[in-house]
Amino acid sequence: MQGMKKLFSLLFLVLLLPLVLLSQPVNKKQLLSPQDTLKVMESIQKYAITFGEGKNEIHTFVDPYCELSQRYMAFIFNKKERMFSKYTFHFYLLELRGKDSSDIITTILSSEFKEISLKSVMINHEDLEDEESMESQEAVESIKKAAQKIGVFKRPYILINGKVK
Amino acid sequence: MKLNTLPYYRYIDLLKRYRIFLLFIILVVVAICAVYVKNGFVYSDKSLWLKGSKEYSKLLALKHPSYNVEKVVIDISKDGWSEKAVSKLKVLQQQLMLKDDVVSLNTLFKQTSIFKNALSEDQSMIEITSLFDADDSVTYTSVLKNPQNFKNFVDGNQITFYIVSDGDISLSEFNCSYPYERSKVQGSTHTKDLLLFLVLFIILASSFTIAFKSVLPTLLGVLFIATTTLLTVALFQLISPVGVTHVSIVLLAVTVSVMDFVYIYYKWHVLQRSVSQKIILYRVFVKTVTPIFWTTFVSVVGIGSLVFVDSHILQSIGLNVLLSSLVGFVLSFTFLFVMLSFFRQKNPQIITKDSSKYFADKEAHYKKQWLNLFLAFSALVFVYGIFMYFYKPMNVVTDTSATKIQIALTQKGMNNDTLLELQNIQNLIQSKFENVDSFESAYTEIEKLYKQEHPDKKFNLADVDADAYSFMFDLYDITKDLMTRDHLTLSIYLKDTDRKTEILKYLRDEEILIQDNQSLLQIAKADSINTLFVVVFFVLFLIMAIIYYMTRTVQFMWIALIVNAIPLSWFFAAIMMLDIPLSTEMLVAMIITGALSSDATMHFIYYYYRNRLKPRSSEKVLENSFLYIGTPLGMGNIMLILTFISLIFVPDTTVSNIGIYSSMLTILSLFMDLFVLPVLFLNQIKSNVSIKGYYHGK
Repeated sequence: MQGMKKLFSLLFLVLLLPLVLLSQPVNKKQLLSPQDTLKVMESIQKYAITFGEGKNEIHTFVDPYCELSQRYMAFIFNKKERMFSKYTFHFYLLELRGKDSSDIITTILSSEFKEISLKSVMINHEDLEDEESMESQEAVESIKKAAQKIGVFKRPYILINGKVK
Repeated sequence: MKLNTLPYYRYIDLLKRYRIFLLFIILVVVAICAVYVKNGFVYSDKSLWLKGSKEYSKLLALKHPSYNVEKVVIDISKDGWSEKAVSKLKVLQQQLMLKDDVVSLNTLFKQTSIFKNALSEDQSMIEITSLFDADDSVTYTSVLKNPQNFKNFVDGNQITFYIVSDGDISLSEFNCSYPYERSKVQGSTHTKDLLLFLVLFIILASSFTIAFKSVLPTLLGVLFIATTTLLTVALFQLISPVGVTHVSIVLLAVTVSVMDFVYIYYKWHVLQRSVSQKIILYRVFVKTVTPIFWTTFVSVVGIGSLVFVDSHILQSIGLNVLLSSLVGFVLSFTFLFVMLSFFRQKNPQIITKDSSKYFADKEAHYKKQWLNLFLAFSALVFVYGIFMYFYKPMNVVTDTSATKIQIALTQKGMNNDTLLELQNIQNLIQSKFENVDSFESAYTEIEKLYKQEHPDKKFNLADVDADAYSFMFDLYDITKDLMTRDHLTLSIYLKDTDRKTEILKYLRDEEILIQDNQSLLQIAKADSINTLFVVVFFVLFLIMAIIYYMTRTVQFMWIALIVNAIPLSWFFAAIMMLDIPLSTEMLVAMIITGALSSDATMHFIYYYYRNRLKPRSSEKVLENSFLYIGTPLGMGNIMLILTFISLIFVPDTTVSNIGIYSSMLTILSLFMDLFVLPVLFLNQIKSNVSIKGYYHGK
């Protein structure tokens, strides 16, 4: 009887553990210092889709299907002349859980005209024909790893001077 | 004695000999001037005050624009606060935003709300939206729920729009279906010019005809005054660096020339019976040239000294007086004498003979206690004025609705240093001035954003990344409301304008750029007050010095001071008591009075000086002084009072204000010259036998 109780308790704990682990709140802190964050961003900057040629650099993780990422893009493109002269925007495509955007991310990153493709999807809400390249897979993986290091917890994840906004 | 050996006789002789040639030359010069003079006078004094003011120059040096901040109060009682009203106001806002001259608009629609747009735990963004982008229903309910947040813009049915612009915005071209209040839009200046000259012509022409019972002075007077005014305006436009001709120059030129004309013409008129035509002009010249020279000297040196002041408005007034007096003096002894040489007056009438006798008799038997009482009361008024000057700063607010001050930092850019400067300014102003209602700046917006981002943290500027917030402002398009040409701005909303000048002076001392024209105007006026006081004291000192030089009698010097200072101190005390704001109109009125009152003193004292050794009764002295000095003085002043009063009917605030202030001051001055000055003289001469060389009466 005593043994049964122990077994049930163990079973209960085993069942409860993944639940507890799954229900942990999303980490909402930037894991790296601003300086380290900038170093990481520098390492993946070659995978970024860049707009503008301003002095100030803005790094942003976006999901092409995230409504708020799209809204953020729209704000920038509404005043693009001023924004692109003052800032340089680096966009990093990172899938958001539940958005099922991995295919479109691969397609955009495989495209010869990444900027146009990103704009078509996020601003004009157009569909693109699927494309895939080796480089895009490498980009997706590198961005994912960098995001994990930094602790990217939301989209759009805007980094200014290495600090999340 | 041979006539041609007398001083000035050769000059009069030359004048008569070449009168046709001289008249031709003068008329040619006048014709050239008439062609040269630019049409239209400036009625508003705003640009004059601003140009050359220290604060405005500072803005210009930094290539910083200055703006008009106009407060427009719209009455929506028709619909009340409703979605319909919101929709209509939004249309107006939209139309104003499209206007090129409009730099920015501070209205309820520009009020931002900061919120966290969170679609899920991993999709969120801090957003700034203005009520302009919100639905009408959201705006309607936001104001209903939190009226305190919108108190600067919505007060019951009164909606306030602050329009920051480069130029004057006409609301009539927009679709504003509600009644609104704003500063008056100026009407056509050509109509006003025409009306002004018509009024001046009618009043002066009829006054000359009635006073001298003849048409001749009307013809000569109008010609002389028109010529003097035209030449003065032409010279002003040629010399003045200001580039605008304020309407006051015409009024000053008319004033100076009326008095010169009346003194000379009157002397010529009364001498018609007793002196032969051969020497009449010479006699008129001898009797008038000295006092007119000295009054011109006082105006040119005293008031003309304003040309050296670093303020365009004061420079303009100084140059106005300087040119009016010089042109008046030169034309009086050339053009007027040439014109008089063509005419003679048969049976000249002196309409004031009986009244002169009456007043002379009354004043000769004055009661000393009344004089002492009047002087004591005037001394009290003077002390009150001085006390108020030091106790309460003079009101320079011309627009009591200007409850917003817009400033900009001298340092460029938005960083932690400039934000700290904004924070310090806000804190200091808030602690020093209780009538400050609220602020609007990058600092206040960052504070709001920070509270939204970190609700559990205390706002600390040191933790703020200015670049991040600068990006937010750019992203949500509110930078232009918080910065001008890369300089952070601060809008200060006041509950009232009571201590606005103090706040402005404080801001200036802190080397902060004041941006809005209303505030710049106010500080320029405040700065000019001390200069004006110095000039008024300088003029009084000059009059005293000249009187002493002419008479070598200290007592007469004090009389001159009392007579000239009393009207000004009464007027000043009245301004302080009624809290009337300082304006160009008031300055012009004070300058006119300064110039006129010295006239009377000089003429009276010169008359006494010339007749000092003739024994006579006190009544006879007074009667003669009334007849020879008081009559032209009264005539000229009454003509001017009538002219100034009639200016009240010209539909322009500037002109009508000059009319009101000048007529009030001229009445005061005339009262002093006719009723106090002679009595003071008499009092001195009768009671003080130490004044040598005078007949001291029985």
